[in-house]
Amino acid sequence: MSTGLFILLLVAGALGAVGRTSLGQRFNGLIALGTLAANVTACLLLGAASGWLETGHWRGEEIWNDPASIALQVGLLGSLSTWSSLANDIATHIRAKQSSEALTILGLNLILGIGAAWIGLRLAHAIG
Amino acid sequence: MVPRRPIFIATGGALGVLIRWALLGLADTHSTLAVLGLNIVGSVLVGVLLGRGRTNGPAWSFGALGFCGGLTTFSSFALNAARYLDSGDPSRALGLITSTVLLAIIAARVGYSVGLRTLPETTQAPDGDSDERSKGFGSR
Repeated sequence: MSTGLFILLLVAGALGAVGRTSLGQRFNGLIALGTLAANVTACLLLGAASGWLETGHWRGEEIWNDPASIALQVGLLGSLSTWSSLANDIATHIRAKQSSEALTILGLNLILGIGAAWIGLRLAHAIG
Repeated sequence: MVPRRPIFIATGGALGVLIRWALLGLADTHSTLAVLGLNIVGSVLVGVLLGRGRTNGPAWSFGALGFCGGLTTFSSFALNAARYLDSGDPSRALGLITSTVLLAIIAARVGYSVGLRTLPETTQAPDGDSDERSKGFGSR
């Protein structure tokens, strides 16, 4: 790993984590809307970035050698989104026998997150 | 005074991302299996901390919010599922979604039990489920 990529990844990962927890602190209530917002935003942007790269605006073989692209996709957007908080939040609601809250959180994250990634992909392909 | 919480979160997040990249680099950048594995490991670890009731302080900020948040990712998982759907392979998408959801929630549950069991006797909550632990991520 080059020094440039190493530093970019560290910065991007730190920014993603701080962004995610700031959203959580502000908007997480009984349903963790802050975590949902972080996940959906990251999914939309990752779908768009990934789709955009495929349209050939970066030469194919260089996509994964580009530090900025890796730092954005794996670092910033990867760290902005999370499964660990989500899974434990759902498990906590299941333990407290709050199954409707658990299902709501799971359903919203899955539908909006995967939907956002798909929309991002499609938009990038359409524009690119 | 510089607030310490964001520093712990940022440091943990950066470290989690580095480890995720190192492992993904061995496979493929959005490798379905590698992402699934990392999401399970991160969910177990947060479960352990949650079971131990340490939901404030440096261990939680650095370990759960930072490190595990950076180690696990929802966006690569969602992108993999969206790609399966986009390429007309809904059964693979469904398989990925089902396995990730089930395994991550089971991992969180197992981690929580382990966390509870490893509590020192003196601090063990009588019913094993204090208010702090049952309120989810509401205030965190």
